[in-house]
Amino acid sequence: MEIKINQDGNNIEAQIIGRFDTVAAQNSEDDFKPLFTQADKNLTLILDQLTYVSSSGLRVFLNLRKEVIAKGGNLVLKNLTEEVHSVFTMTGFIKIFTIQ
Amino acid sequence: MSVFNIRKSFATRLSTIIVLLVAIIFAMIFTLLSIFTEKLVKQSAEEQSEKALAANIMRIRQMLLQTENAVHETEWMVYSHIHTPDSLHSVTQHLVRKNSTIVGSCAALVPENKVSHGKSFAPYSCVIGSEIIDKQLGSEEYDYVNKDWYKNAISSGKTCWSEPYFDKDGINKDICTLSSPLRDNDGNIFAVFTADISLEWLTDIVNEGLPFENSYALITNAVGTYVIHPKKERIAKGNIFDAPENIDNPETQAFARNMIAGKSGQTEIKENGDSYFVCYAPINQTTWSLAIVSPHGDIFSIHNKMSIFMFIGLILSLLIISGVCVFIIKRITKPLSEFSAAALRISQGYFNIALPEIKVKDEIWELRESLDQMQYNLSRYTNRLKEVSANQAVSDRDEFIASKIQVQMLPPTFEKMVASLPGSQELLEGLDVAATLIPQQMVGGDFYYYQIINNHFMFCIGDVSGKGVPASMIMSANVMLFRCLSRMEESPAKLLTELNKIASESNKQSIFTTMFVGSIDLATGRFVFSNAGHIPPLFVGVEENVEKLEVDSNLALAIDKDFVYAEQEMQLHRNNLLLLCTDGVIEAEDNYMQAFGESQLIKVVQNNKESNAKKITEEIIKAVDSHRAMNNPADDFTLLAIKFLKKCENLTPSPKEEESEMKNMNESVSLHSPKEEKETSNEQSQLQVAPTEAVKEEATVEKVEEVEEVKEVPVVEETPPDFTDHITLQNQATQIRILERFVQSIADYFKISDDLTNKINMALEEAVINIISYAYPAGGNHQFSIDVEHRASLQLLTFIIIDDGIQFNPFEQEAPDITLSAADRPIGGLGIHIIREVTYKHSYAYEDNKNVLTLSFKLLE
Repeated sequence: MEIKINQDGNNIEAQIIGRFDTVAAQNSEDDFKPLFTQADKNLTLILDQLTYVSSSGLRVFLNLRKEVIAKGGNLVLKNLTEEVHSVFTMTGFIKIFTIQ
Repeated sequence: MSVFNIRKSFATRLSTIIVLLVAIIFAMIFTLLSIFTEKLVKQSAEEQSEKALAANIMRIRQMLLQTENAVHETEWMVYSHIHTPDSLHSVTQHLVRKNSTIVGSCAALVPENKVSHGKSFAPYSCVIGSEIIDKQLGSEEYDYVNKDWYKNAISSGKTCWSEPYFDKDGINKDICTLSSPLRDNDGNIFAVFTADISLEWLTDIVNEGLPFENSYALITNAVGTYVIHPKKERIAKGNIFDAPENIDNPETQAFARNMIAGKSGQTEIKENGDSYFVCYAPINQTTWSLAIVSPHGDIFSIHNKMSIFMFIGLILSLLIISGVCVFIIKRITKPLSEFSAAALRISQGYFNIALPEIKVKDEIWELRESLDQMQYNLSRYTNRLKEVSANQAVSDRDEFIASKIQVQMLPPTFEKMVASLPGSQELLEGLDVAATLIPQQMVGGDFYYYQIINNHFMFCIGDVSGKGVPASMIMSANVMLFRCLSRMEESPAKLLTELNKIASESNKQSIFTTMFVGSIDLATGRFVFSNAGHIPPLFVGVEENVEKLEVDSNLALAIDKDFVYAEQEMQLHRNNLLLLCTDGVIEAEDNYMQAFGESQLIKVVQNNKESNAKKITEEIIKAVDSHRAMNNPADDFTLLAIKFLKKCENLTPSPKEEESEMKNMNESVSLHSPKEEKETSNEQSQLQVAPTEAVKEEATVEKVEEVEEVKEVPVVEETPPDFTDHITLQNQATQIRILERFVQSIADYFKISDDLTNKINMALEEAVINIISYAYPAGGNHQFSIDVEHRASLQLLTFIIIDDGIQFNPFEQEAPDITLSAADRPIGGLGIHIIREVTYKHSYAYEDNKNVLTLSFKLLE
């Protein structure tokens, strides 16, 4: 799984590409660090190329959300695929994340 | 000096351009100047001519006037000598003597007058040479009365000039005569007093006052006869209109007409191809006109000379300019050639080339500085590269040497090894062994070994995690440990336990190593084995179907120093085959990331089970290579095929030395008595004390063979499945990927939608991660299986996940309160929730010491 981060001042866009399974969750800890350290800014996760997410991936999103709330930033999830959208609905995450 | 062959020097080119430019400018200036000065010169010449003309006219007039005055002033002498005509010579002499311009004088008496007494009397004096000669013109030869000079004076009664004529009677020259009639008291003309002037002399006088060297003057009278002319023979005879050069010359005719018409002006005439400038004017109070003719050659001679000088001067300047340009430019650009030479040398690898010093800080200096810098940087860079590549070379060489060393760690071929042993023939008839090891890099972490100790065939196969030099170091340690421990310890379990102790002490990094150790009693066919996390061997038994041997995978090496390994036993019969390999064989991937797979391996072995060990390994290699196709191997590849042909009943007992050696060793080894038995598997773990003598069947050996697959937990629906599949996974998170591919292959087969496939993946991933994370708290390498069943009639796809970890029912967790906000929601339990949501049915059971998780999905059309 690949993460492409684009920073423009206070706005950070991260594009997540591929499968977000447990292995990917373990391997991508470093990749997500910049988002966690800058959780005080406006974070946008672009998920149109996220093909699959399991509970491990969801946990990462949840942790990021926690960090963003703690630091006073902003988190938006954009362009969810149908499959990922249904996962979010099924888990109730749809209610707690800002989805665009 | 030029490095390459310069065809056109820069200096020459630039100079040529400059010179050309300058030349063009010079040419333009020259032309303009030329035109301008020509005009000026012409103007000046004309002025000069006019001035000369005017001056000459004045001169001539003066002279004529002078002559007239001279005559008039001498006239009284004639009067005073009237009565003595014979003494009139003194008067004419006097006139001639006193006036240098007068060359002849005559006092001609009118014969009809009483003074002459009716006689012709004309005393005449003339200058011949330097003397004055007296003559008498009144004679029959010279009838002066009819001469023009006499007649004109008589008829006009005034002083008058004659036309030019040749005085053959006097001085034999062309002259003009001034005649002055003298009157007596009665008013009658009694004498004509004359004065002659030489026209030749007049010509000379006039010619002195000409503007140019080759100018000449003409005087014409009222009819065009030349009064003076440069050609003396024309004087008084030639006529301007009839002159041969003028006859067909319209311009000359025109100007001649103007002249005799008394006009003044300027014109240009051409004569014999030469141009002449003519200015003319009448000599007032005469009937004559003076013309001054100047050749253009004279007029423009200075100008032409100047032009030529200027031209030569310009050419010289151009040459000098080009010379200087070339010189200066060459000097400035000389360093360029030196730079090229230097650059060439630098490119050949010399980084200490001295560059010429440039004094002026211009672009050439800039180039020099850059070259210098480049040299310096190149030198540094190359040195660094040399270092790196030297290091690389050393490293490559080391690795190469290491690979040679590593190859030597492996055992010789079975045939070779056996050849040096007693009873080799028997041994060859009893066992057929073949092995292959292909490391992925120069050295690798896979290993195998075998040797015959005490008529037991001791063998091992192992896989150190990783590749390359680090893995190879652990590999060599393990091989050595096996070689030496297998001499002393016949029990695979005890061997592994001891090896593990040693390996654990020196493996702080916990580099994961799996190993399988086996011992075959060649006389009896009894096969004892112990596994440390390795892939279980394939076995072809009497039923002749290829199965995976049920082995207790214990624990991989170097994880728990004090782990006590368990071993198992079985009886080998004729032509039984054991095939051991490392995961480089099973996991060999093709371009689509599809693993070769256990099932394919089983197939190949199945197809070749009749063949000898070598053939079997060859066929497997072929099959894997063809599967891998263009893909490069990703891991070390090891195969060990052992075919038990028959019992070797005629083997001699092992020599005494080995026995005592082993006895000694055994004492120390047997201190390690087995600890508690593990109860995690169905197989019996029989720990045997290693027999000191071979070929004794004291202990009863049960055939502990549980080769059948673990029975599936029956699904609630009794309908038999129309499709089944199976996968075994290790308890490592990375296996998720293998699971994903497995699920994808099933999804492709049943054309399941992406959405449902995702959901299946999610559910299975949760179940599997649960097992991996929680089922084996003690850790270690474990396996669990997933069975797949499809029932078309029910449109049901079922996954049955079976693991032998600690008892755990995932569904006893609470469902997460999904209404809580992210901040308040606890993290666990999400996975279970997902399983519940996506499956059609789910159930859990604990049977036969195994957790059985059943997940079913409805396949909708």
